Amino acid sequence: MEKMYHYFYPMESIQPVIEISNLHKSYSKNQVLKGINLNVYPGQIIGYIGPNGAGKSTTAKIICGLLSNFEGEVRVKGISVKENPLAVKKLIGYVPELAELYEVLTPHEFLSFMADLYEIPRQQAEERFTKMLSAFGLSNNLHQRMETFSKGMRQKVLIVSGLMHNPEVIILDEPLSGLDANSVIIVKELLSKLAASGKTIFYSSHMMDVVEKISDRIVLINHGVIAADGTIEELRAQKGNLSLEKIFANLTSQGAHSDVAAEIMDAFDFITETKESTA
Amino acid sequence: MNFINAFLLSLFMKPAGFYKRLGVDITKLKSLLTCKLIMDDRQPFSFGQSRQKETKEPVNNSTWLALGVYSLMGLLFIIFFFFGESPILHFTAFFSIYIVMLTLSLIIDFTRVLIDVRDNFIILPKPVNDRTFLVARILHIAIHISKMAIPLFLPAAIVVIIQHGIGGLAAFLLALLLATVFSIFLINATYLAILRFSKPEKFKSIINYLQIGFTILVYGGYQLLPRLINKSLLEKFDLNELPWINAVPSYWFASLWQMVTQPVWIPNLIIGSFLAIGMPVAGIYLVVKVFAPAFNQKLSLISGTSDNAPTLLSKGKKSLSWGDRISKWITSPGPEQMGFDLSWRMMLRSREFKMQVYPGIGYILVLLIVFMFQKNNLYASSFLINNPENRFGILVVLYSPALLIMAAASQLHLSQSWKASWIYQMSPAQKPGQIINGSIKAVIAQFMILPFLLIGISGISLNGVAMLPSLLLSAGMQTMMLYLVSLINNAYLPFSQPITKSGGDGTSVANGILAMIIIGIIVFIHWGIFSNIWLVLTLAVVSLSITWLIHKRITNKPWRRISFAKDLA
Repeated sequence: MEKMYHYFYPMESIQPVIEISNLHKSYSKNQVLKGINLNVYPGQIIGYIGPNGAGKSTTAKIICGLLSNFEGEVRVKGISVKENPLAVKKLIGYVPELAELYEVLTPHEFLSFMADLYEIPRQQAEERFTKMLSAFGLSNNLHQRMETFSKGMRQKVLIVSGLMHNPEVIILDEPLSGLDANSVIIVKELLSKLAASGKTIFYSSHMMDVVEKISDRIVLINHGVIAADGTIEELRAQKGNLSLEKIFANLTSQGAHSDVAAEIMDAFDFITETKESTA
Repeated sequence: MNFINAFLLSLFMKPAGFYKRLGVDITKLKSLLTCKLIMDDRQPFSFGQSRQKETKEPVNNSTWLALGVYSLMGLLFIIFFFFGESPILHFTAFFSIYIVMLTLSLIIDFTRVLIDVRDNFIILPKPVNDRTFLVARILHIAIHISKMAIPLFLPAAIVVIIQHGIGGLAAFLLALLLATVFSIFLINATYLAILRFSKPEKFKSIINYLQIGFTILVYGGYQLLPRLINKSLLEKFDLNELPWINAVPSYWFASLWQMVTQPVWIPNLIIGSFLAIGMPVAGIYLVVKVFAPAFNQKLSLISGTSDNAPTLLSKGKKSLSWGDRISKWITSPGPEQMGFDLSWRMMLRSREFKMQVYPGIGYILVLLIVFMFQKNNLYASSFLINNPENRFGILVVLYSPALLIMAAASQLHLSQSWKASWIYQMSPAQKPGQIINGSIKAVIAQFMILPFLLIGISGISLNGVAMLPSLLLSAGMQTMMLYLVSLINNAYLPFSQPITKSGGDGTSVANGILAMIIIGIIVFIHWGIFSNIWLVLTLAVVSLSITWLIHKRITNKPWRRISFAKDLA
């Protein structure tokens, strides 16, 4: 695994933006991350994929400084998340997976408060988020309470709140959930532009088709360890020219999917034919 | 932001220099507090509001509403200062109600308003230091408590000035401060106890039960306090003489007041005033040093992390629950049994249903206690039916389950997850009425069988078979009423309607009141014909026959007579 990083940046001189070494994390007795080692370089879009419960969100939260109780070392631009979480938080824009926001507030109020927390002057913040929300087609909803918003509208407000302070590292946890097809295209386009301007993007998701299209590099985790790491082309070359969906399935599921499907079909005749079909 | 919030905010931001020295970022602190206070104002006001209403209208100005309600209560509390001559009694009574009110309403508000788990996703990823976040949370709690405490004690404070002068007021305010600190300690201790002895997932339902208890307490206090005062029972003895009085925390603060203003050297008073100072100080030390770290850690568990894998339940056969057994016994397989099983579980598990119906249990208890007070004492002999004087009371007991049954009947078609009722629309059931019948039977099984067993056994053991006719008639009448209310309400399938502002469609509330009036009339008729056993038995048979007819009618209700929520189409 160690060798693979050098496919991307053979020159030792480039400093990784995110450095994760030997990361372990447990919730009570349940060990979620079992030694993650990962370096992410400037301008990369990392697609961080894995089945439910593999530890995707946990990794994202640790990089953001939301979870402090972990073993190993995580650095963002050379700053240790454990030692100086505040400095790291200033560099990061985080878009959480659930549409978690204070929905009794209006987007204008919510984003103004968030701007205060990033120490962006109110005037400048207002100009920025008004522009961003208008681009998302929410200019008429600026002073409307978010209680009535659809999931997609809330997600757009969250994306704006994550990008508003022009962060160097952007961490997105399922950012496209609830968005309609047009908004998905806009966000994909936006991510490419952000990466082109030198931002580093850590994109955690299980929407394979999107990950396949936008990521420079795909990191697949399973059972708390990295199961595959590389560009989509490299992964294809290694795994026999399959789609990402198939590669994912091969690496993460214990039995073949067709067996599962067969088992489901079996349920209809479980009284008479189970023995014959399993025999 | 309204005037009160703005005023309190500027008041609590006065020691900005001090906060700054603690390492707090003042701009961020103010921004966080403003945000939280605006949100408070738009949260529905918690008091007595036991369920979330699905309303399209945005909530505004809860602060003013809360202020009004708490001021009214504060005015009510000054009653204590006018009965009897002993200030120690006045203050003990006042501090009792003050501590109880503050503690219970804060326990509810803590999870709902003050400790918002969304903060973990929204504020924590932002560059806000721990001190700022902590001070913001403490100040938010302090502002919240002030909004509640000031209207509660202000009327009493005025009375204290009139009765005891400025010195009396100063001592009162000191005791109040300590009592408030003690209440905060109680809340923390309650939270930690709940978290210690139960799973985090259970936390919210325990808070809900506390909320139900709170509703009953307020209702009970409203019913019982005036009667207690009328009894003038309390005037006759001196609190200071009671050996166990220092087990009552409110006595400590009363004795502190006494010792500061007009010292009387009685051991109980001396101990009490020491406790009044010592306990809050020890409590706040425990909260800051021991509880707070554990508290925050435990609280994060309430929200639950999405990464936690669901607990695996052991496979294998589940034993039959009571509900399953009863349903096998009293329903026919198919839609009716489905209606029963679904309703049985929903009634036991749905928060909003329990919040609406379970206080009824408390109301029944209060009703029985009030009845007891009227009798002045409660002997088994007051339930003997040969004495005509007892009969009305006995009927009140016999018909008391109706409070519960009617509440359940009026809630049966309401649910927060009403959208799940698409399953009915998709089902090929021939007679949807059978589902409704199943759910009515579930109400009978859950809310009638046990009370009637209790009433029946105690009634028969006291009165023998002479009890049977009235028992039968009251059971028949209540069953009939249940079916009748369902017939009127039952264009709806169980748990298929959204909870709207008026509780269903408005008419169901009116139906509930109407049902109670009719029950009242039935009680009077029953009372009038009590001694005519044959007439009682005949009416019992008639009521059961009507019940059977309604049951038939509901069973045969066709799909076109069933209404679904408008949005579900």
